[in-house]
Amino acid sequence: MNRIGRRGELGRVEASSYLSDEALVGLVARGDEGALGALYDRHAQLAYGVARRLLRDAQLAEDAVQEGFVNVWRQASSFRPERSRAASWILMLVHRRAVDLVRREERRRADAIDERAELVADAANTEETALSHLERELAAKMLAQLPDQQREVLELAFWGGYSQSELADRLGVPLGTIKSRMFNGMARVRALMEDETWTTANSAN
Amino acid sequence: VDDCEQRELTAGYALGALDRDDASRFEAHLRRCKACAAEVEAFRDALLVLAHTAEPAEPPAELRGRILAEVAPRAIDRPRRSFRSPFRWPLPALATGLAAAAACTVIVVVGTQGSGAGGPAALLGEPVAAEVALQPTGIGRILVGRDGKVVAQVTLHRAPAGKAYEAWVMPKGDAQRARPAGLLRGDGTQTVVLSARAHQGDVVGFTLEPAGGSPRPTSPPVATAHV
Repeated sequence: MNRIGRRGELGRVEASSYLSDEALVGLVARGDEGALGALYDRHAQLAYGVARRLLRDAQLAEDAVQEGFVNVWRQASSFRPERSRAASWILMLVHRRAVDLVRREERRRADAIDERAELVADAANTEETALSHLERELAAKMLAQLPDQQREVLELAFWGGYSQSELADRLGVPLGTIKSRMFNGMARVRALMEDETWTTANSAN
Repeated sequence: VDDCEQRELTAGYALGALDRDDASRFEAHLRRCKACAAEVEAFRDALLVLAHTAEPAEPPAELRGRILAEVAPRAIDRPRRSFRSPFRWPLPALATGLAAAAACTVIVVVGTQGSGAGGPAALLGEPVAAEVALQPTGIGRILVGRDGKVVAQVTLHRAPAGKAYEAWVMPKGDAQRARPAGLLRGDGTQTVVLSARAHQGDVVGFTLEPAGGSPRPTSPPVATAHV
């Protein structure tokens, strides 16, 4: 007979409203599907927005979100809260599925950045909160501080799903240059996050 | 980290931008190099900045349910091969016509997820003696009170037309003495009070039965817990 644990008095519904993302991932690792639902409620809108922008197809974007969240369930026990935020881990899992899908659907490949008009139309469907607007402005401001060549490589990889060698071909520069631009760009973003104390993403919790 | 020659690949890996060959080599490297593994995880947070330049969009309402149905109560659609019931069920037990006639217990559905006041422990109305996860993992759990009252919180697909889920309490290893403990339709997460009491050594289980219920289980369990 298992003695009741710390979780004993904690119904799922009550738990979901105040637990951190990281704690919810911990519950998911113990098979709590209510906790997965709570993570979905917090992150699915951004995840779906990311997947749609990358895939430009509502059905494929749904597939990416679904497979991403199923991977949250399957891989929850490997998540290390001391190393990265749960939000970025979840978004990475969805993004990774979206990249797999976009690589399969070659023709849909984004010319990553110049599709903003279409995206704005999509966004009209969502009531954007003041907070998410703030986050978007902050994110854009941070990326604007990167040297153009670094930003270009990050955006094409993230939104176009291009691999490093594809980027080298596309931009006509050596593979080694792409690798170092990507590394330096990511390192710069990370440093900016520390400067800016990227708190807004977490305060959504 | 600085002296690892693979270090430069950490950023590309976090971005999902490594070429296939690089990615598989680098994954092998990550298993050996803790510094690079930590670096990859730290770079993940930088993805948040890129992600946040997207406009959030409302996914179709049914997507959430599809995901939860995929991760949790698989057993109804296709039983998980890995799931072995801890006890044997008499199969098949009775003709369904006879079974339906035996529907004498009605489960009290006291709340579904989202409406629970106080949670399952409050519904028990007696001190909690045990909390046991239902198998397969993720399908739910039961709370057993000091005097044997059982509250189950269980997530099931809606039962097919003409069928219902029936709860059972039985001594371990003796399905012939299974006592019906109520019926539920199953539709998302439900918190239910069973109409039979359970004690240490008993098994609580759910099977899919004709809508009126059966006096004995007639199908393999979709969920079980050993008290």
